[in-house]
Amino acid sequence: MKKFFVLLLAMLMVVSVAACGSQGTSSEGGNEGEQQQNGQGSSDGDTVTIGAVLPMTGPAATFGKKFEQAYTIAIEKVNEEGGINGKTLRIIIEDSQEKANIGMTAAEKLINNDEVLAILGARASGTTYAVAKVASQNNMPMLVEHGSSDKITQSGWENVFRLNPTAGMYTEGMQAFLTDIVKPESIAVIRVDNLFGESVFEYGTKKYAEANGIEIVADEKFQGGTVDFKPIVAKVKEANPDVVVITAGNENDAVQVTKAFKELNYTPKAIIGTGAGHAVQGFHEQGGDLAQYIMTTGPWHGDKKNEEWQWFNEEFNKRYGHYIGEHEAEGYAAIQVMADALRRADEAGELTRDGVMKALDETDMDTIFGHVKFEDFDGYTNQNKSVSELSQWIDGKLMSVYPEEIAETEYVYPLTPWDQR
Amino acid sequence: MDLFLQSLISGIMTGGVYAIIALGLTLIFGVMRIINMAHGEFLMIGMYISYFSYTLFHIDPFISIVISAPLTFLLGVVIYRFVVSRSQNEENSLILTAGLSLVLANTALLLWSPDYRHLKVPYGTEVVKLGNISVSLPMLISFLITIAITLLLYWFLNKTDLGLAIRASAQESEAATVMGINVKKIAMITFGIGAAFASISGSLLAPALYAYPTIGTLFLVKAFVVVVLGGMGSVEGALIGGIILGVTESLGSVYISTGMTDAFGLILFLLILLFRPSGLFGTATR
Amino acid sequence: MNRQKSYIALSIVVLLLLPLFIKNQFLLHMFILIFLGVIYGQSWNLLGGFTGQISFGHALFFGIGAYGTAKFLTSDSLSKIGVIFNHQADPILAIIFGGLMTILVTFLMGTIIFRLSGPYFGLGTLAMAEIGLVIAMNLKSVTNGGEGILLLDTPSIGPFELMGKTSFYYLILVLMLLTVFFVYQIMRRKMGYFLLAIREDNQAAEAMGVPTKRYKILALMASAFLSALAGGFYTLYVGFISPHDVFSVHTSVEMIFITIVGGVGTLMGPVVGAVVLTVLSEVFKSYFDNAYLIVYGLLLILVILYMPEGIYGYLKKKWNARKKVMADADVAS
Repeated sequence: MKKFFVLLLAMLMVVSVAACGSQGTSSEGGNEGEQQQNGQGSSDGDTVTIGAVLPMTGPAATFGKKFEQAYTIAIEKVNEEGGINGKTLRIIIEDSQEKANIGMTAAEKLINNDEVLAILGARASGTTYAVAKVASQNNMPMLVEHGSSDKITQSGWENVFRLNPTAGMYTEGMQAFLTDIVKPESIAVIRVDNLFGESVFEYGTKKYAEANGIEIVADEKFQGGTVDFKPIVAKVKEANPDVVVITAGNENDAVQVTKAFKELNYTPKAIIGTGAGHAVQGFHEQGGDLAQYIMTTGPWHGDKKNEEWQWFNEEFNKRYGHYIGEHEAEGYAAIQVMADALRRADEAGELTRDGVMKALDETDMDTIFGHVKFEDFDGYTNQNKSVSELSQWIDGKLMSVYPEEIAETEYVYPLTPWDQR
Repeated sequence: MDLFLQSLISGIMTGGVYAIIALGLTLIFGVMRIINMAHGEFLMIGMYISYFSYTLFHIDPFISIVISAPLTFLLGVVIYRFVVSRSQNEENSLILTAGLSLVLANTALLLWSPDYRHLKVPYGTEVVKLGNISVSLPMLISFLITIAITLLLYWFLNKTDLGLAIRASAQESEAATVMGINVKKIAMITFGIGAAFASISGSLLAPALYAYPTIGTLFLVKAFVVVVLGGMGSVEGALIGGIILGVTESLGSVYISTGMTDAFGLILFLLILLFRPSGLFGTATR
Repeated sequence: MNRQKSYIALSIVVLLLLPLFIKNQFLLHMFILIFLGVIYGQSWNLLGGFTGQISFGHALFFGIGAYGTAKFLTSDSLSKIGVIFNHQADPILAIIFGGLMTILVTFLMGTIIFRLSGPYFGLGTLAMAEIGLVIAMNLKSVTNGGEGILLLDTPSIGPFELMGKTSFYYLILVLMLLTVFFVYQIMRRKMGYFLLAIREDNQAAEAMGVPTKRYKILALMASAFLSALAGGFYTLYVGFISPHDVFSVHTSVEMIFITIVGGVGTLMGPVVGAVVLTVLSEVFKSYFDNAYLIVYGLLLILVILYMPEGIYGYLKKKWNARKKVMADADVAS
């Protein structure tokens, strides 16, 4: 017993030293990495630091990488244009492995670093909850740019601001299209079995269908990475809905489902994805012709006539080999919003967490993701009323098609049958 | 009726995929009683080898087996020789292979980025029609290769000296030692073969699925279900166990609930484990 | 004897006073993770280490404990039972409720799962945990499905709000000390000897008159209860649970890592394991960027290769050897 507790004590001391040590090096390490990435060799002059919690390892790491790339370009641009009133902006990214508890530890670490003035993140809704909760307990401003569960801005957290539409809002573009054009009597739902799939269904599709007397004739859940979707699609085919709404967590599931439609030669009037897997460039890259005329509803991919949007799109492609989608646009816009808030906080002489929070609250600006203003409405707090659109894959490009005000081109409806292509 | 037949055929095809993944695992489990947590990572490596063979050298993924199998066999042998063989007991080998799994998956993340890699063969979305039933061409090819490979392995284990030595070690390792079989060497070869089969399954999956560093974990639990269904160390058991699992899932998801898909196989697994622990086809004693 | 007791008292006093001196919130968070890890390890060790029944499915108990706690706090009918001091349910009662739910499940499960042994037992428990995951995803009326449960209210124990690191530190410290004490008490009593006998040789133990099945089930229940405590605390601390977070294989594997890296079948092993793995994984994160999991995996491999009995087991062997040398030297002089 004596040894037990003596050893315990000894180790506690080691922990203290090690944990403190790791703290110091972490911010330096992040600093170095970021400076290399952004080509900002100098350490003289002031810096302004923000943090982000993202999945950098594990199955969702590919999305974390997209945000990291978007941040990198955006931060370089901010710094080229004078930074935060002369100070250099930098970001520390902490890994969440897309797990709530790891994300929480990452948030604790960022919050404990006094230099960090605000945090971004944390991709998946579950991780975002955990991070937002810690942030709110510590009065740390947080800007959510992707996590879409409605509850994130329904929980009354004053420090949490959301740029992107909620999962419920994701379907608004589709709702308008269904009401105005398709006028369906029945829809079928195929959705990934996780928080995202659940939120889009509960707060979006189901709510809309119930309110408009549309029958949901099938509601099929699947596990990410399913090899063969034919049994599920065959079941939906038997139910014979007017429209099939699909929530796929990533492009692979989106491609696999579509493949099953083609293999069964089944063509409903429209196949509509709900962002995520259906809205990334990989959907076309992997699916090829399968993607043709598939629709997707989700956050607006930004004002494509906007010069900065076009510049970012080209720059991103030049550097990383593909054009931007939802994630990249969100990541870039998040930095735009953050830089703007930091500048205003600085001008007010309050470059502190409280100051940034106040500045975020007063945000009213145009970004490549559209106009951003955080408002309280319908039980939401600090939620940006960002536009949700319906877009369609036409000849390898995702084009906005509805509502008409933001449409880039005419929609193709109904869906061309597979065997007539 | 069409729905039933379609689900049945789809289930059999998916079952073939499960079977080929389980084939390597059942050998390793049968001979060494090791729960190899890194098995999925060999699958992942096979997928990447096929992906790069295709994108860099235009080698068809089904042909790239010829490259991926020997490479992963060697990797498996080396890993067994220097790491796995040095564990003293079951739970330690579990930690060792779990550690290996982390190392392999995250090395892949570092080398090949976390991006999803999809191998787009021209016949990727072709279908074969059997009346109203459609079967995807890549899945059908991979199913046929699975059958051929299973037969080959069956022949190897039953007709060659090395194969017989492996079977002897699986059933009675002490007796095998007495008979002059070098059990350690046999174990090393078996581990290599197991790894090679995992990578073959990765290559076969490559045209139908996508490669990313942690894809291995997706199939690990299913592979264990198949191993137990078929009986540890039983080659024909793995094939039939895989098909049973595939069909159970497919029919269960169509006629009962899609959300519960994963539970059907697991419940079946528990029942077999409890009431027929040597599996449907296993003869090995506990 | 007295000296031992004073050492224990001294250590506890130090741990109790620690938050007064630590102002670094992240450091407190690390301590909380370590103490939680100790419970993970002790729980798994009781069944896997002392009784020799290697489970891969402890996430099941962790998950039920987590959900039981969350349900108790959020459901209208259940939380009324728990209202003692305040207007809202008591988190301690919630954790205990989660523990009792787990015991109920293990009682049902124990009667069948011990038909299996060795790797089959491991696979059987793994399957049960996976089934738990699927059920939690689908039983929407109870678990809220894939959406998970978010705790928005700050729970309070009596007048003490569970807010901020310090209150959670004390809660988990008490839970950890109770856990260690509980396992220590089991192992020094008759039950402990029975469990060890079962581990060494089940048949021999039975022949000697140990009711092996009953004691295996008892060990499972005790072990599961401890996991459920950890799960309950997780719910309170993280504030959000979803099936894939709490029923995941990763949770089971983490418990095994902590125990075996620390030293399986020893009371001190899980403590060492929790400290080493929690601290090093943070340190690696700082130094190796996105490659830190490679280093973590290598660490696991190296520990098993060079210290197969775990870090504590290795140290103990070294100590005993030195003591023996010193004792020999004494005799010689």
